[in-house]
Amino acid sequence: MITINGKQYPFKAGQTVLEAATAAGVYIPTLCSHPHLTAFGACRLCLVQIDNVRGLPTACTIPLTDGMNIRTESEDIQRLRREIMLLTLSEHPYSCLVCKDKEMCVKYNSCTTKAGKITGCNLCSWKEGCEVRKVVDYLKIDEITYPIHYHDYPLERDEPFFDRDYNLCVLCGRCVRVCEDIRGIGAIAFLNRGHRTRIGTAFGMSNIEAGCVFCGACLDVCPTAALTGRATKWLAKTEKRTKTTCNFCGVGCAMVVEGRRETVMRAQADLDGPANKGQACVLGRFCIPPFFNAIGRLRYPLVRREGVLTPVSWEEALKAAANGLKQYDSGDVRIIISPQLTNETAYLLSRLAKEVLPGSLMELDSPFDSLALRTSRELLGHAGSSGTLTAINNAGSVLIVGADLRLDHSVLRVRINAAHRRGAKVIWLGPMQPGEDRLVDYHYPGTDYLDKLAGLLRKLAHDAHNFEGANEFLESLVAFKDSKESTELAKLVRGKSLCILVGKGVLTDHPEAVLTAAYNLIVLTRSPRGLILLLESNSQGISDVSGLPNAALEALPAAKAYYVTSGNAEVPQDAGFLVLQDIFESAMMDRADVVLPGTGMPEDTGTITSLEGRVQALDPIAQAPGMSKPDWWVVARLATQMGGSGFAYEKAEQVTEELFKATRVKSLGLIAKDSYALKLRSMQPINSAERAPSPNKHVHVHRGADIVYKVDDLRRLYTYWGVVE
Amino acid sequence: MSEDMWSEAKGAWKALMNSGKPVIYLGAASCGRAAGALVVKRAIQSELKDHSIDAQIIDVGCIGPCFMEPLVYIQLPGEPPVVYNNVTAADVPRLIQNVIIDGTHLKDKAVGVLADAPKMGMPRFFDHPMLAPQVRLVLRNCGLIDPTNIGHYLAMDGYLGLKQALAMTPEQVIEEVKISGLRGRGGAGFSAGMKWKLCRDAPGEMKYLICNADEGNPGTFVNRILLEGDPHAVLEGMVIAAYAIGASQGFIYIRHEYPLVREYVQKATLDMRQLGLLGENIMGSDFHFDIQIRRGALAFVCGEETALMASIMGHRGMPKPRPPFPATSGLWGKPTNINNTETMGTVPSVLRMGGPSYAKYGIKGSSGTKTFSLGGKVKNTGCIEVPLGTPLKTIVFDIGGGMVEGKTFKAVQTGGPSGGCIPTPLIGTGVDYEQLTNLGAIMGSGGLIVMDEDNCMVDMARYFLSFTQDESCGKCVPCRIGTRRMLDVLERITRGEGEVDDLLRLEELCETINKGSLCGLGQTAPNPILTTLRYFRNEYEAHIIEKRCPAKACKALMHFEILPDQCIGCEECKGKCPTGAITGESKQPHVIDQKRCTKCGICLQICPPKASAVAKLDNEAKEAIL
Repeated sequence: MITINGKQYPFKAGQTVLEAATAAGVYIPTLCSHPHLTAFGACRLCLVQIDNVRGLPTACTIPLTDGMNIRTESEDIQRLRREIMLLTLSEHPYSCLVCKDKEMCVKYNSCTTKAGKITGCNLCSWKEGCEVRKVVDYLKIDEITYPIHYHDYPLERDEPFFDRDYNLCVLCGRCVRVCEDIRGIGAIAFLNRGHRTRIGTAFGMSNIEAGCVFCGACLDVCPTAALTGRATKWLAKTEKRTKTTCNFCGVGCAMVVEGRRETVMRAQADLDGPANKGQACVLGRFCIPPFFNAIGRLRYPLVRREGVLTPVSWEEALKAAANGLKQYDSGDVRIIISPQLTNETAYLLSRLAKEVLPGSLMELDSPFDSLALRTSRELLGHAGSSGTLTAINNAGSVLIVGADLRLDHSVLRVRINAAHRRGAKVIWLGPMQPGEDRLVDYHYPGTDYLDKLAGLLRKLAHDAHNFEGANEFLESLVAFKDSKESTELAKLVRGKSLCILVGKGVLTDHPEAVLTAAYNLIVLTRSPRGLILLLESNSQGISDVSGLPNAALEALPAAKAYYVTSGNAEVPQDAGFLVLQDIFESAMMDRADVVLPGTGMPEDTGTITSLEGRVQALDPIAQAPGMSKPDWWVVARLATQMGGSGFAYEKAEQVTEELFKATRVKSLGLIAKDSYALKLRSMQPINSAERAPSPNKHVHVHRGADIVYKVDDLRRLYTYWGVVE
Repeated sequence: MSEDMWSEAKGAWKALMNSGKPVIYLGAASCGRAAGALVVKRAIQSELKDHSIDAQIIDVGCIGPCFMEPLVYIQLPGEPPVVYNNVTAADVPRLIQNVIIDGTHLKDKAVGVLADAPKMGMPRFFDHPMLAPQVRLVLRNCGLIDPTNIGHYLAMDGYLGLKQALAMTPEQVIEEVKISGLRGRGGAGFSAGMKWKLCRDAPGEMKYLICNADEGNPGTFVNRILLEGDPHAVLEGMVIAAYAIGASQGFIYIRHEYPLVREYVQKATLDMRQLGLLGENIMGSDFHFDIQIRRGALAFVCGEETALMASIMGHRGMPKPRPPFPATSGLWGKPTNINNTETMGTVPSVLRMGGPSYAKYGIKGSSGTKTFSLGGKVKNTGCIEVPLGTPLKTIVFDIGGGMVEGKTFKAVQTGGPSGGCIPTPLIGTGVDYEQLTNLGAIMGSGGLIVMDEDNCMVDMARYFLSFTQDESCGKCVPCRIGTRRMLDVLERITRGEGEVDDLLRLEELCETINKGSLCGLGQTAPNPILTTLRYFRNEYEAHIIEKRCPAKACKALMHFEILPDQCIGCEECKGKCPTGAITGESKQPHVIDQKRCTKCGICLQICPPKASAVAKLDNEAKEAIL
């Protein structure tokens, strides 16, 4: 037991005094500590008194010991905290903080003046969130005798996404720590010393040159308005917020989005996000509002009349689309599914394809994802990765093949960095962007992925006799050669748990063979959960609910009529009839016969499944523009129009419930009891007691379903040119 | 093979002492070089060549009295070396002629002989008033051996301490050091033996040892003297310490500003490896240990142990809060023991003479001897070593030879920017850890700066604070901003813009900075202000209330005047004034134009003593003269 301010609390080993106090609901002021970052001890506000410890140690750095007696407040401590805060304020524009009209000003001065230089709270864009204000209020500071020292650093606004005004910086060091320790980039650091200490990049480089990827992690931890998102800082007050999931890539970062009226205004990473744990990338963090609010959104259903696309009512558009498609044999109709569609939309599309247009073929508009899902189904028995993202965290070596982690799946760098810090070896096969090398121990720039992996397999082949298919496997290796690289790779990989991340760069070099080689590697190294496919957006979910892909893209015959949900899809010039359902104007509109405006991620209700198989909810914050309708609604109404039955859904939740019962989403072992479908829409965390026991020791409390699909053991090796039966 | 090491070395040393040709020793540590030793060396070499004299020249370290540099000792065959002080290139021909060629000893230029008793009509060098009260244990070889010659060190019983240690168990070695009472000589004064035990007991196979040779305090140079005079003493100490705690890798962190030290330590470690004193199987035992040299980069804060470790690991030199302490989690999270250079350098002596013998020196609670850099307004400046507990009075007036130029003692500053000043009434205080701390000063790493009536205590506090502010790493608020706010106040006071509340402000800030700072730099930064406020409050009050600097040192509060009655019109000051502020004809009284005067003080220095016409006056006094 420990004692805090006279009351007793249970002792938990591994906590700091600050963590224990916070858990006990005791407030200790701090500016430099953060639950996700290592303790720093710089702001000196969390000083406490502890029996048998000399002086006033900082609560954030002192490890808790059983029996500790802690006082977090006393006259001496408060006085010292106040003096320290006064010093901090002497170099931060403090006028408004100690103004006697502070309360009246906040109450009546509703319009924040949009100034360049911030010389007081009344000009600052972040009054609500500012932690300096919080501490000032707690310490009841109403007077400062120091003159203001304004550093007069130039405002840094030359680079995209966020502004930097270091005149407001209190040097808490959180931004430096998150960039270096969590993201593994270290674009910014402490510069100079003494009074000239400040934060910045080395040698006056721009942030871009210093390797910054504008993920916004520094903004999210900054206690002041020193770092602010340029596009959103002067927006009017947000009215609502909700948790949703970013759909730009397959990682499935949980985001908190804010909206006003019917528009999405801002997005930030959800601290509790199971896949991303409070981290995001530039796309999710900064690009959601500008993307979905951009000019060029489709607003009206359009039908081509006399060669011109004409806005019509939904009834007319759906009729035109239905009639157009029905003109053809089902077998000549192709449905192209965008990876960004939700599970609900994809489920309904697959029902439409099977029930309303039997014989029609569906294709996933992503060559890599199609191939990877198909190949993994043959190898693993299910389409998708063989494990979850924790495989990266637990790996002894991480092998990244054909990936570009700068803009795609960027948040995975955080896990790779964590593994790297723990001592894992990070090996990169393929071209690498500048700035990514900090994470990588060994870089092999060539695109001869198959040769490299096969060479590595040759070195590990002595173990093959433990597995089925060994003879054919070994025979197939004869075609490949040993090399210096394969010896090096073998040394790095042997004897450790392996995690392989395969990206779409492998399309250039026998991708099926590369995937098979990756699979064989996880078999031989006994790392069954180590194959991660870097899939886009909701490709995994689409595959789970629809059974896609069933055949190689190249093997699909040409179709005559197309129902396309992606403006970038490849549709032959001689297509007879083309229905385009999308959210943005595109060149394909020149050929489309019917255009149906759908919804994007901030407007969607439904679920998506990340590349690790985690099903997460989309909760809308915005209304799609004009007459746009949710994609699932469009598909359902179209199906009904075409004569399908059982498509009369009123709410997305109804579709979710049905697909959870009917598709692989359930059969994969994902714990999705019926009651979950309803819970997914709410912001309440799911009560962990309602779940069946999870193999995960950590009890997440989050919105998505837990992943229990286990690949326990893989006993089979495959040759390169196909599965051995 | 190892056994022969010592007999071989002693044989070579004996041969050197009984050399048939003259041996010339040159004090070539950085202090000697700064005084011109290398110029003197070239002159000697040229002179020897001209006369075709076959003599051996040996560069030695600093023997202590830096004010005597350049020091040259000449040893004629069959005689002990005779020490000559303040030798210039111009003196060399006479020196070579008289001493080597003619065989006389130039007694008027000699300080003394390096022998056990007076000889040849000259006193013992070590009987000089500056040296006689000293007890040279850790400095025993400095100035007497070639620091780049491991053979010389071995001849002086070097590495016998290590031999002794390897014959004991590590626990016994720790016990020996504990009994000796050796406390950290870097300033904190923590028991070295206890620190070693904590590190030894910490769980983990991999342990590190660090020698802190960052010596950042302005005015302190004792570690430099030791490493430039006898680097093997420190390195032997490191090997013994590593054996005791179970470390396999050591680092010596040498500040960037000591290039000669780096050179000597590099040579020393190479020689050690060759003789099996470093690396695998040291002295044939199964103890492996090696030392890497790491260079600092001009940061005072990197003398703080956690910042030093950050620097070694390639990070920015910013301290980390403790706990965890380095003994349990230091470099790369492993148990690490870090000791000051002098502490390490004392260890071989402790092992050689035994803990109880070492404990006989000094006083109870502060046993042994300590080196100090004695500087400031005393006659005899340099590096000294005294038993702990020696009264400051002895150091200033006996060893230091008293004040220069007939000035009056005002205070002695100990411990640099982390320390404080001791005024006249307390001059009887002994230098030991406890007494100095009670007075508000600290022993620190051994800097002693003596001040007289011309030193302004407020200005001195301001100087040390500006140093601390410059060197603050910037991490924590009380130090980075607090010292800046204090400096703002002190600068105002010395500019004559002090306010009545300033002393209260200073005292409050001192408390905040002392209690709130993360590391020792910040925690001790207020010390110079606190001690000067305690013992020289009147000076602060004069600055604030009367706008007067009692020492007439603060330029904004004083001015220079030429006293017309005393000026002889020699035009010397007029010629040297850098701004042309002085006017006046030959043999006419000169006048200083106050608007042009920058108060550099050159006129005061240059005015002939028989005239002594330049006076420093308070600013109010201006009206009186005019």
